[in-house]
Amino acid sequence: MKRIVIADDSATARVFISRCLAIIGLGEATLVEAENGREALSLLKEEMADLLVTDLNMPVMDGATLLKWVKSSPRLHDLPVLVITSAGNPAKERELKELGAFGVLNKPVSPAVLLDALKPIMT
Amino acid sequence: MLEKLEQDIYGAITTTFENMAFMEVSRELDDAMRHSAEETVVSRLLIHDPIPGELYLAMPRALLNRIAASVCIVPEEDLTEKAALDMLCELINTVAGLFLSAHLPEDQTYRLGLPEKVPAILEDSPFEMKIWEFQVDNELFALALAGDGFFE
Repeated sequence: MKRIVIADDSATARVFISRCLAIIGLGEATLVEAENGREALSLLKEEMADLLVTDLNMPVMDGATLLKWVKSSPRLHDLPVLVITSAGNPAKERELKELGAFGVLNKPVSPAVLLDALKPIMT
Repeated sequence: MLEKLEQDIYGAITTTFENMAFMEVSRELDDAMRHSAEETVVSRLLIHDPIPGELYLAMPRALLNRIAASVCIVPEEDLTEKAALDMLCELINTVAGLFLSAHLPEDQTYRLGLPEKVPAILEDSPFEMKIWEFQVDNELFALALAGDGFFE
């Protein structure tokens, strides 16, 4: 995995997720940070990524809208999207998976949980 | 009902602080740890649905700075105000999510506002309010929940 976009309006959350990614062996990847969904979309349009990790509750463009944009774009459609949120529950998880997210994790995420979620797409 | 509410609040607080800040939270308070002159920082998060309410997290500036510096891996003296407040907001956001996930029925979705810094816990909130205190790392901090629907 070479390029990972992390979308979260909290800089703390982005640092925390970056640390978890480094701990599970993805420290070599280029981590690109976005403060909201719109910024993440701009970054993805500039350069494709191998993974998008996004929060749900963000200003400007939230994570669910970002997910819809990604999955409706012919160019970005196959991009794996992992949602990490403090607003998750089984109903929300089903909804987000129907929208195309391959995983939904609850904050605070741990390296072990993140590794488990990313196993299917880590080659 | 109140017992479950308190268990869910405590569970959310302990999980958040243990997983994000690697700190053990206690409900046993040491009153010697009260420093009334110390600056307290407070964040508020509105709960829109399904039960309207407000959640507040108030903690001493020193404790917040220590947690933020640890998570951001920077010396405390290099910590910016923005990073410290961002940490406070992330903490309350995480506590709110864990609390509501535990407290509401499994498939119940909920809608939160965005966390914001406020001058103090607004005890004149139009809602019924309860405040809980906790101790971590020899400092006391408080979480307040306001919302009539939570206490019915």
